[in-house]
Amino acid sequence: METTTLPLRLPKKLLAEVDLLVKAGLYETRSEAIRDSIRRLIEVKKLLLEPHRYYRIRVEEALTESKKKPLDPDETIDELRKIREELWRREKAYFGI
Amino acid sequence: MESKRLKGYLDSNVFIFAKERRESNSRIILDLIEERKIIPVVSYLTLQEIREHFSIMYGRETAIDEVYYIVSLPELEIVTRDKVRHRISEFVGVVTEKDLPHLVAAIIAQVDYFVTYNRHFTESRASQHLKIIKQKDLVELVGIESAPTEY
Repeated sequence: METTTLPLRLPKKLLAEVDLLVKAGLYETRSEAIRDSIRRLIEVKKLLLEPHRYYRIRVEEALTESKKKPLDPDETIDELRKIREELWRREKAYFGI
Repeated sequence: MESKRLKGYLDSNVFIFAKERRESNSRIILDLIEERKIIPVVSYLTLQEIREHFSIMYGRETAIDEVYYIVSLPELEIVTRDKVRHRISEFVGVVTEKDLPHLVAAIIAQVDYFVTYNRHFTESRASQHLKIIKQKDLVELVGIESAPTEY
């Protein structure tokens, strides 16, 4: 993976906290700890700002990685009809009809 | 002056084709919803159907992500099971029983269109109560160039 080096100013106290995490064995290096914190920050902020975009990307990535090929459109409709039938079978009594 | 935004009840197949078919009108519809150009309505059942489909096809985690995606869409209206129960008896016989909760949910939400690629619905008597259109029709109604598929 290509990386870029950034000049970074951190309060000494914060850096000491990062070093503690490294010493505790949670991270190999300071850089790894900071990279992980940035990844987590991005995830949280994306969730807060535009959750639908975040989840859309997650689903699209999962589908791209999936080995399962989508059904053709008419098969999808047939499969959905079966799901609907099953859900209705479970729910019908609730509606009293 | 800003034109009136369309409010559409989106059947489960809209969300599925949007994710599985990149060149689809369903995908364009979801883009339009994210841009707040269409007001989306679903029912509690839509979420259940989608969760089932995605679980079968891609696993539970992806199914949950898809449901989170839908419920976080801007301005989404979800018609609850309880609301459907209060009105369902008025529409018995209009569509097959398993489609009834969807029909009733769309009527309750007072949507402009019911959007589906399911011909069992498009060819039913539901059209006496709602305007039922395919995904391509909705995209064209918004004034956007549609994709070549019906869905």
